[in-house]
Amino acid sequence: MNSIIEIIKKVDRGLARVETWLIVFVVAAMLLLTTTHVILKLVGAPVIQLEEAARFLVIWVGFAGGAVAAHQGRHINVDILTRFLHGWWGRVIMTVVWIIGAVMTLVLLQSAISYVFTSEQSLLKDGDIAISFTFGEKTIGIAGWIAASIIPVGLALIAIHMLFSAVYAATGHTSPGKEGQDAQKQAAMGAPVKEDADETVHAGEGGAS
Amino acid sequence: MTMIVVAILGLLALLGLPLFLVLGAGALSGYAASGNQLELYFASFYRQVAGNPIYLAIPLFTLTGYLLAESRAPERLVRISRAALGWLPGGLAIVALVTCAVFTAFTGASGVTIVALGGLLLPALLKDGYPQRFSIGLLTSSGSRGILFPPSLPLIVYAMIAGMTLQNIDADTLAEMRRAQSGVEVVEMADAGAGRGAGGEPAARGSVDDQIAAALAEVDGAGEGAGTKPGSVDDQIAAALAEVDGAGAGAGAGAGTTATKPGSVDDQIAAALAEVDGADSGAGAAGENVDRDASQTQPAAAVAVVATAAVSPESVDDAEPFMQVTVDRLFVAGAVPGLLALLMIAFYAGWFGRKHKVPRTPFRIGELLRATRDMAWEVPVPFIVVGGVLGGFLTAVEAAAFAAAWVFVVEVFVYRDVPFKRLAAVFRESMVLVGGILLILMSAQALTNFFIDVEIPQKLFGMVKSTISSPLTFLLILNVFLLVVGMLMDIFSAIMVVVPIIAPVALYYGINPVHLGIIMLTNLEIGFNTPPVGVNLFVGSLAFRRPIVELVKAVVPYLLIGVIALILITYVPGLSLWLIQAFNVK
Repeated sequence: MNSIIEIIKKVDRGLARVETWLIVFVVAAMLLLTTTHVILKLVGAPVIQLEEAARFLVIWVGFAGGAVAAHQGRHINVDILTRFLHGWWGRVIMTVVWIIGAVMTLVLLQSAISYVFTSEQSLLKDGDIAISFTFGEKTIGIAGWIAASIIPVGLALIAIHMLFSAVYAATGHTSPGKEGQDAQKQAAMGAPVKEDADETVHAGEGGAS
Repeated sequence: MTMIVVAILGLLALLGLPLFLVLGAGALSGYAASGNQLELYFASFYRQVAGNPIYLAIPLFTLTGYLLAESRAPERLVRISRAALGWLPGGLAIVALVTCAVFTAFTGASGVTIVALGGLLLPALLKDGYPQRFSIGLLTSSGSRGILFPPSLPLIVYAMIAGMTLQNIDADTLAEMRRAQSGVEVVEMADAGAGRGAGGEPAARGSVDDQIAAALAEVDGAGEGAGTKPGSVDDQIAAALAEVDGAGAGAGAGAGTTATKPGSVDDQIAAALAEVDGADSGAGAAGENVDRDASQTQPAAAVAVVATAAVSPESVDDAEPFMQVTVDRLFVAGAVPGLLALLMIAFYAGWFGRKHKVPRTPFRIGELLRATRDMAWEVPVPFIVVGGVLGGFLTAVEAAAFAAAWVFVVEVFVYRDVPFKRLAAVFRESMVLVGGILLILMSAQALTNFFIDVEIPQKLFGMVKSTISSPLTFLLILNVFLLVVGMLMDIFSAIMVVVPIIAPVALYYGINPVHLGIIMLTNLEIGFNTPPVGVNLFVGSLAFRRPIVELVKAVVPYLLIGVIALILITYVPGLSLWLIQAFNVK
């Protein structure tokens, strides 16, 4: 049993690591695109596509960030009752809540897949173009389904993290996303506490090594 | 069925289910029940983000705030404020106040300020001789002080949600809104009239004995009158609402007459409100107020309202340019109310410092210059952001892009406060907050679409207007409601859950949505400090390692000042709107 939990934790950390790197690249790209856009606009040669491309990156960081939030148990919630949940009952209730959360996310995932890939009017079948750049006679476009593909991918990751959270709650383990988070409540407020962030990085690295 | 779904979702929310799922499940079940395609859920989000650059402001400003929090900017900020303001009575307290406000404006999320600055400022305050309770209260309540100043994230999120909600309010609803507003006034008059007519009897609605019968008569047709006859039951109030739909009634002055006949039964009040819908009716407006038999012994107030406003099919934006909600406007609107609240606390701190003879830091120009030089790279940021938006050089998004890039370069390459290997963690931590906000935003948007589809705001308004007649009373009740919300929820979920319902209703009462935003954020700011569950109290308790009870006592004076400021901000709309009009901010 414990070895299964360890494997789950390893997968959990590994996914979080991939999500983190995705965030790093997308944020860097976003900074580059928006800054270039502002500079070009100020010098009188605006290229609106730069900003338009950056808009799609918002969806990417949003869902990648949402996945990490699920990993760390830091999705925005109203936790009035959870403050009073302790012991066996607390574990049972939290397990149920996380399972319900995972199922709800899967329902969302299903309609996201339908919207992006499978339905008749899906972005894929519609041939939706997110952004297009024209160089002379050549036009390069990025398809809408590529731009939006992070929606189903992100939801799938969120569902996986939530299922793992249900496992941790049921077995009384600490989620690797929360391990070493001494100031866990501060993290829940979104506070960039240095020690806490360090801990999570170590936790992530520990998982991959 | 609906109630069961709502109850289950409510319970799950209280048990800690992420709010984006709670709202999302609500929206999805609504979509499913009304036969809408579930794909719409993502379609509207995708189109919104692709079509509106303002979403970019969220990750960019969040990143800026997290980079600043990670660097030694807090220390530099304290030093420069101390050099500039330390000579005032209550100097260091005012320094703490200003520092926290500036910092919160950039970090947005409540709690960050207390953690990042509290540890720095509390020892300094105590060392200077400020009593512990005063200092802890000041720092705890300062945790949400700056949210009215640009570029605070709550301002952006409010503008987005309110804008999204209100853009769906079309000409018909606008017509209804105007009519409703005049209706509200007439009801007030009728109440007064009934009171007089009854000769000393309490005002109409006050004398309800048993039963209220609301008879709703709807007559569809052009410009016809509707007659409603209240029931003949004792001790009964019959509120007959006759609606005459005069859509497409053509041009000219649309006037309708509605006569109501009060019942002949004792103790009966008939409040008949007849409305003629004059949407699309071209030009001309006529209102007639028929108040018959008000002087009878039986208090009978029969009111017929004919409000045929001339409404051409136009959106709220075109019709009421100052009703439009944009991030730029919110950025400007928060300045005066925010400064007002800040000044009030600064005066309290000054009075306190003088009373307790706390030593002041003498003003030395040399230290101020050195501190400024030390912070030279960071000082321009707020000025460029605020000045750029106010002066119209930069949009909020461009200001966000500038701020993020600038702060990134300055903290990583110039000050080297944030080492390269920390960047991944900072990026990730900031985007966790962004992810949380965006996912809720997506769900809230889907839920809002559904609400508007089934006309929830209109129904809510129908309910509210029968009990709350004046905008002033509405604002008061709204204040109390929002204080409770602020106590229970964090700021982003509070905005995203409450605004879609409240903003249209407030609009019906003629409250400018920009003003509403400032009222709302001021309220939430106070709610965070309100015992027993205000979130600042928990964060403060954790950060300062003090029991919550001590914090509760400590924040009381600040709560009182906050409430006074709130009353001023609520009832003097000019505080929020004057700058927008003066600078004609779009």
